[in-house]
Amino acid sequence: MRRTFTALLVALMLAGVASAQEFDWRQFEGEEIRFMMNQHPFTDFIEPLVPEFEELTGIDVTLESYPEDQFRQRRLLEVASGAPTLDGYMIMPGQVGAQYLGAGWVRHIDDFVENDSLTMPDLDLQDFFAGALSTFQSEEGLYGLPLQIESSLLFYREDLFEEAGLDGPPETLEELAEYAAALDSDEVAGFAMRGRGAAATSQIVNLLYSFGGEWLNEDGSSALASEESVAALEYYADLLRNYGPPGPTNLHWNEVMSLYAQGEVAMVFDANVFRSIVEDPEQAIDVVRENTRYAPLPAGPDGSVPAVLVWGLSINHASDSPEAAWYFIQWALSKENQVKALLAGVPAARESAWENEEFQATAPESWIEASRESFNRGQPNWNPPVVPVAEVRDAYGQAIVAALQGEPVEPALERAAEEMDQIVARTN
Amino acid sequence: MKRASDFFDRYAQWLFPLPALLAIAVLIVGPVLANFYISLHNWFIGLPPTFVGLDNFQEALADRRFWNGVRNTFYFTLLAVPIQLVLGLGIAVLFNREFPGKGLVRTIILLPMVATPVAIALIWALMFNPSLGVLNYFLESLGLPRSLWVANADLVIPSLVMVDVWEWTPMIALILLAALQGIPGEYYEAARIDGATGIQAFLHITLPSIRSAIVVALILRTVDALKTFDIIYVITGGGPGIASETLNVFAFKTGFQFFRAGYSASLLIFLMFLVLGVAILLNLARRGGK
Repeated sequence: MRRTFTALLVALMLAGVASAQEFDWRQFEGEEIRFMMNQHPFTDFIEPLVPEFEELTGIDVTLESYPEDQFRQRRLLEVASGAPTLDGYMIMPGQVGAQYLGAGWVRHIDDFVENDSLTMPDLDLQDFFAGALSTFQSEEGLYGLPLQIESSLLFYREDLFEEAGLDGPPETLEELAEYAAALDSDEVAGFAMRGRGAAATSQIVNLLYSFGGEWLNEDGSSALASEESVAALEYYADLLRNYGPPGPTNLHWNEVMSLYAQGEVAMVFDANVFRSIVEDPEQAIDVVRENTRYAPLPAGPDGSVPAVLVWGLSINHASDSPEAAWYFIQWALSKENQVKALLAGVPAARESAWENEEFQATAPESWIEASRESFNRGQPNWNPPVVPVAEVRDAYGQAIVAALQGEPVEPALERAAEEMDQIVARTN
Repeated sequence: MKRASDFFDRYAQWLFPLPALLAIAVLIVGPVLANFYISLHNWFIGLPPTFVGLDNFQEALADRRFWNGVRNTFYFTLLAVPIQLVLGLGIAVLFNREFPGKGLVRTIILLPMVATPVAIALIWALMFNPSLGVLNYFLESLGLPRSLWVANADLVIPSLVMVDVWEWTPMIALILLAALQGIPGEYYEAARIDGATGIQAFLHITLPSIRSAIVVALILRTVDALKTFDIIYVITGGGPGIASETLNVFAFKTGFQFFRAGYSASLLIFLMFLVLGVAILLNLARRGGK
């Protein structure tokens, strides 16, 4: 009697679950999924936690990780082959978004998000930084979720500012140039940022946007020769030529950061993650470590429009277990796991994680504030939104080097725009 | 049993080199043929290739970056190899004499050649840094003005040549030293008895005796210098702009960064014929001289 009662109760409960379409972690028990990952702090962080997910869901997860170059090649091969055994992968939309969307290699997830039985109740998409989520937004909808977000900031020396009688960080690009002039001396250069051709484009794009420029015109042709783009590059070249360290065409991020860490330059603009270099006593001299403050990108004629660099997780178009893959993504990027990721050193893409008190105690206030501001304002295309990203960056890079060598900016950009159109046409 | 050994005896001249021939076929001939095949296609890696015939070669001949690469390749080689040859000869002559601590000095001077090229390149890149590098520190302590080194478009190739000379002069010295040690001492004795000066002995005995060794060293180094990749790629990446972009570096970027496999393959075919042509010319010069 008692046993039948229990059985009845269980049956009733199951029926209830089924009819209300409630979210159930064990819905895909027994499925196997495979994700391809970049060897990245996030992967190091999530890998040991995977057994928790397996226990929770009964889904068997394999994470394969490779160093970045290899990772990108392998992902390309597997995704292009259409093999259903790959269920998901790490992806940087700013790098390959145009290519993967164009080829139909990502699975859009709106139908999952709208389905209450497939999406956990506290997913809370609004919690992701606006700049991070927007990178996964295409015309056809959402195609993944962000796992981390980076942006570039102004690093500056408060002690040198005080000496020069400057108050607070520059708020406009005009002010930035004035500050650089005031700080520049024989011992210390006023300002530095990347100048090494293609490597510099990821930073200059911040100026391009803030001057109102774009990568592409409405019709898909190159916008690099636009008035705004010319103004941005002229501004940049003047700044570096007049107040930068010697040989700006040589500057990659490690040159920029080591100059700053050694006290050779008063302000630099580069990725916020390089705080780790500035705070490392092995790499930075004391006066730099003690006096560095951070500020968001100063505003140009079109405001302060920083580009954000976002890594995330997407579902493979060919996956035969897309629902199980979606479960894994939700779990890996849950509020709880994003806090843990942030505490493990991964700049998490959820705003709520950044409010964690334990985290706030680990980073300078000005850095947290400036970073969050940039993340919310961020523009996703830190690269040209085309398939042949590297070659277009290289063409733009040639114009950057020409400008730094004192050549006229306009013809250099006209040539870059022309080359960019040819390059893009080749893959269409 | 007997038959088998007969078979081996009869075809020994084919059987012994067979493993080597197979290795060459698989590792060299195969890839070269595949490269030819790829060069006939327009292939953006990730998209399906399309056959385009000789279009890639035509495009290269009209590409300013291709010619820039050819020019830089020759500039680099023609500057680097003669310097290495002269210095290498000098070092070889020096080491051919006895002096205290010779073994130690010889080991030290050979070190650049055995170190890992990428590691060397990274260290030189640090030394070239215009603000933090040790080279400008030396210049300044000698009262000389700072230099931009590899950050200056005009100085970049001479600076890279400096690294190449530092790295590869020991190889030339080694080859020439071996040749020098093969010259019988009697020649010099006879010359001394006839009243020849040191310079005369050098010009009329030493140089002619090691002539073929010099040509061998020249061919080896020239072929290598034309293909130089590691130090250029690591130190400048072909920059500033394309000021130090050799054909090899350009082909690498085209293939592995820009993903244009077909065009990259055609560039490498140009490079192959260029290297082959120079090697044949040098070889002819050696035979013609005999």
